[in-house]
Amino acid sequence: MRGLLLAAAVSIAACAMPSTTVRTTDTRPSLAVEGAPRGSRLFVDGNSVGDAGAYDGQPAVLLVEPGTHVVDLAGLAPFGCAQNSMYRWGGYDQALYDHYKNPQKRDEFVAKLSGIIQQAEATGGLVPPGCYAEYGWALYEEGRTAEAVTYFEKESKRWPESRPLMEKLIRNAARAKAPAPAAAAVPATAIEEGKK
Amino acid sequence: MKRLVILAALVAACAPPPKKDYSKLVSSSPRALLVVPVVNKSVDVDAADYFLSTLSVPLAERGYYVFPVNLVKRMLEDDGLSDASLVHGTDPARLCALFGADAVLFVTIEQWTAKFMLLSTQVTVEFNYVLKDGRTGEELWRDHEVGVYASDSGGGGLAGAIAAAIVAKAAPNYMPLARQANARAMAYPGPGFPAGPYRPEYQKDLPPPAVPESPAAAKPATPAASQPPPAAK
Repeated sequence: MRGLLLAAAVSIAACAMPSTTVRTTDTRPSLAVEGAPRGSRLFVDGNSVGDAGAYDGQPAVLLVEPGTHVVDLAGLAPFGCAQNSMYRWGGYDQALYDHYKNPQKRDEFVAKLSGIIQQAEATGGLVPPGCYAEYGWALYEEGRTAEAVTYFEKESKRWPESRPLMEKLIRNAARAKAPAPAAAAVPATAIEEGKK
Repeated sequence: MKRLVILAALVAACAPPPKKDYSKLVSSSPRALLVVPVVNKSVDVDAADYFLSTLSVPLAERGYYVFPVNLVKRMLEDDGLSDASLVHGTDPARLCALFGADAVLFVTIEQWTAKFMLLSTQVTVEFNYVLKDGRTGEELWRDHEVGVYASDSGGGGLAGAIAAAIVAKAAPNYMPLARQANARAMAYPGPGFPAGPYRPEYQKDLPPPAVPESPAAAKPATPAASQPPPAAK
């Protein structure tokens, strides 16, 4: 098939005028973003391709392979379509994902939750719903019940909807603490095993 | 020409379905939503947990209180409900009472697959979302989303296509598709949720109640206008 086409092309070329111009054009589709806000980032299929303003079509465009692509334009917070985020998530969803992907790296998950809360509190208190409780639960699972209760209380105060559940968890924490007066001396792992 | 095709795909992805009955959701007006572990009908065993991690953020951004999903999952496990299909089979009223929630969101993964062909990889995700009332157990809202991503050979040449297929084969990335599906499902106006109590437009963005006398008034106000796709051309 190709051989036949080539032969045809050669035969046509043979008949043509002696001067020939060959232009190679990139036929790939291109994307341009008009009026992108400063600092917004462009994502193609989940991969960042950098500052969206860099592809303004004058003349810079982004070449993509033909086919269907998921194109995201994200503001300062790089997730989904939530352009004006109400909370400072600090990568809460990514922390959960990483935790499910590598459950053995539990310490990292707990540290990440703690970091999200600290960062959000330091920048105006927009701690997302559930974060205090999620962190409190992680502490509770490690047997750090007194600290856990602090965070259950914070969740309850910040989000009235959570109060019935938080009160229940605080009662549970108190019960978990009561029968074992030496709890502080027992390593967290021992408590974990004792629960199973 | 091909730019047009991409634009069309984007527009189609964001176009909301024609109509949705919000009367039950509006009259129930939940504040606190419980997201229980996801039922997974795909063969990828990790999909359920991975997908669960994507649900809190878009839901809370709609203005609702969302119970911490990992805490909920662990509490249910401690209660002997470690199997998501058992959880989904439980009376919604009982589940909500356990946590003090107003409504519960059941999500099912119908597809979470990567199809490897010689020159391309096609990644498909498909989800069903159902919200049920915490008192009556009645269905308040539902949505269905499909996301497909195909890496085609195209202009990259044979070598490029094979390289792309290998990269995709090593780790097909479902998460951007999953997040996009959630964003579409929860976008409002669109198939998603009217603003919850923590959004400033709470109860100001409700669809006008369906008045039988004047069907024109029942039309939702310009659904396409709210979430403009990135200005791609």
